[in-house]
Amino acid sequence: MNIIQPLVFYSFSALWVISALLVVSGRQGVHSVLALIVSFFASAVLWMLLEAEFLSLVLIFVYVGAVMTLFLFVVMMLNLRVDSDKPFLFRYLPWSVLFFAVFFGVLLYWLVSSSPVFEHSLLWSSADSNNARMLGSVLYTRYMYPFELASLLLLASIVSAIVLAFRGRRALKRQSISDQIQVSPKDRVSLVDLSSK
Amino acid sequence: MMMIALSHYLIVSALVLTIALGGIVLNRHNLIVLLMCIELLLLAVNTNFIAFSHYLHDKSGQIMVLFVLTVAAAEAAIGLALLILLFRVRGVVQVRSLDSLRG
Repeated sequence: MNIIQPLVFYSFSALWVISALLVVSGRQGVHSVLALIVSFFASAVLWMLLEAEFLSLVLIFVYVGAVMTLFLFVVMMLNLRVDSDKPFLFRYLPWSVLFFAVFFGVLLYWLVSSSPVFEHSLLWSSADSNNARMLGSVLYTRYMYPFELASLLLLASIVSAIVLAFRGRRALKRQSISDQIQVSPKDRVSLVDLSSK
Repeated sequence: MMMIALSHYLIVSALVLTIALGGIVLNRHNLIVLLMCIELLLLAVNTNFIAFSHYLHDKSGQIMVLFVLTVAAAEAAIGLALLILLFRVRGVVQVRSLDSLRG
């Protein structure tokens, strides 16, 4: 137990970081999507290690199952051509690497300097505790109103996604009343001069 | 015997957050990769929430993760719809070519 847990933690956090790097540096969209799926799996294992079993499974089922499928569908549907942006990258890469190294250094400094708070090892709850039941007992009582708001947000996002991507029905036979009113007799009736014999 | 402390999780998620931020800033060739970097950013934040929730023995952090996942799913759906619309209008989804407002 005591050796399994650090082994799982270090291997899957290394996998998470490596796949995050692959997401960022992927030339083709499909490779980035696949690397993002790997990184979702790795972080789901880390969440499982933190005893958030329900959310870990939700991450796999909902995210990898639905959202990542949507990403993959869009990437494959758009058929993007691959082109390199080497000049841009080489112009800005050193400065941005420096900036983000400083950014990460500041975060790390804060974590290390406030070590008395954070250095305690994590406690483990008993084996018969039920994560989903505890989450439900909090979610449906104390967080009922935000839960309803979240469902409303999902409804709004469904409607807006459909409105944005919907192109209108093509080849539909129906009356266009404004066109019918604005038509003038000259457009419809043409007088042909036939000379009588 | 080595134990995994809270700061280990925080350091890993800070590293992923930095990578995702760098991907957002440096990315110039694909708008989809930018959306995926936002997903990665939210994933790092969620890991922080869950680590603190486990550390403090408070389930409210996991409820927050549930809401963040909801918002991230809505954001992904609307972002991809906008992307399809953009591809239909412009024919490209490169970030570099979206500079019409520059004048």
